[in-house]
Amino acid sequence: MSEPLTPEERGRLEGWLARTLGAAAVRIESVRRLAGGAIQDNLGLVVTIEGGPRAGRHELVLRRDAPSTVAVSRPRLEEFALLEVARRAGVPVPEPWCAHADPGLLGKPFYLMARVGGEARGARLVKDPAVLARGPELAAELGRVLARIHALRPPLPNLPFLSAPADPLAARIAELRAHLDGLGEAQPVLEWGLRRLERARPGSGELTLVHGDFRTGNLMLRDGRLVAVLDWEFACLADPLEDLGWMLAKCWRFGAVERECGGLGPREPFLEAYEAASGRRVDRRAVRWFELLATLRWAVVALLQADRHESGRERSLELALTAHLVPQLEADVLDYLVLLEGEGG
Amino acid sequence: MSLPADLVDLLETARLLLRERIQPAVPAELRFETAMVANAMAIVARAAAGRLPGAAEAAGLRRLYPEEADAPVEALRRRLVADIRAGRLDAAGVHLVAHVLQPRVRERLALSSPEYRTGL
Repeated sequence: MSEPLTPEERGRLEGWLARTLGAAAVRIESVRRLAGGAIQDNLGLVVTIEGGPRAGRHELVLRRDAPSTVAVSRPRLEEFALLEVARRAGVPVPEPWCAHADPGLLGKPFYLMARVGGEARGARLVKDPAVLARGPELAAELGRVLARIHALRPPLPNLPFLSAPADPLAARIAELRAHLDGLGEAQPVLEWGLRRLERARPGSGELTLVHGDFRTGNLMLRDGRLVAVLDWEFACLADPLEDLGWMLAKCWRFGAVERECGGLGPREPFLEAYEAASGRRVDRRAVRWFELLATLRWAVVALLQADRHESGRERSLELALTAHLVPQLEADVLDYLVLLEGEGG
Repeated sequence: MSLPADLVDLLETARLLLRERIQPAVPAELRFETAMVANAMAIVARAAAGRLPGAAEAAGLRRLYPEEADAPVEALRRRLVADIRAGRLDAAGVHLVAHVLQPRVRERLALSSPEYRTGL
């Protein structure tokens, strides 16, 4: 794999950072590519800043668009604006530092944020003794944080790029069908799930900021406590139940299926804490419908990822194997429909 | 369509060597990659042993659309998807799930992840 930054890019970045941060000089001590995200190009930087308000040694993350991007993923500068809004609303996020729109500097727009220490990998967290010891408390903590995100309702003048769909569920279903049409291969189980969802029309009737990828894997934990909500690239205005369903869906439990809140803790403390913090009453059955939506959405994303490999755009065994997750998601779709509607619907 | 047994055995023997001798010795930063290679080999080994999906779903589709018994499966699947979206099968859920969708999922799981525990 190539060097994450060329010497020229490194020099330009140091100069720009010094000007932006009002520093006498900025030195990049080290750069390394961070694991994570099939979509992102994330670099871990250690910088020493001389002079100015940020003087000292800092660990930062630089996020820049990767060569291939998913159509539904937001540009980096919008993600930066989302981080700023979330931080002001009291949501734990990595502190956003500065952003740069001009692709001349590093080839793509990018931003920098503080690096938060901890563990986000789902496979590790579901076996972490600190997580296991406080599952119900952790689930409640996640519910309270989600309530803070959902307290942000339109109009949100600092996030002018977010559009407000008149019917968020219909918009989501249309979006997933459009992706399926683009992929070409007929997907009868996913289509059946979408149709049942369309007929049932579950929803809270509310429209709020929704994180869009609030799940184990995007939550940075330390000692079994949440320290930061990561990866805001799918944030949008939608039904807040979308985030609840995404967090609780069977497909995001990393093998720990019995702990229904992302493999980390139980379902009810999560929902009860969310209700207490948000003042909303959550319809438990509607949440199940949104878990079905989550399963369908992940299945479509998995097909899109596999297509990146199959089309030759980005050859990768990880992307290729994603196609083989889809049958599990299809099984989940049918199981959710049995739960919600009985055999066959 | 299945491969001759000795070729299936060759792949399976290679996969076991990878899993039992090589995987435990690989450095931590390559463990995920090695597990992916073993998984890919296991999928191909099952396919080579004849566990390719399609037959049961196809039978269900032909039963659903008896007048199109000679049409290719993908054409029937496309018709099914169009009928689902248009709501023409809204009342036929029990039949559709039992004869087409469940068999499809069972076959596909048998290839991709036979150990998956269904049920919520």
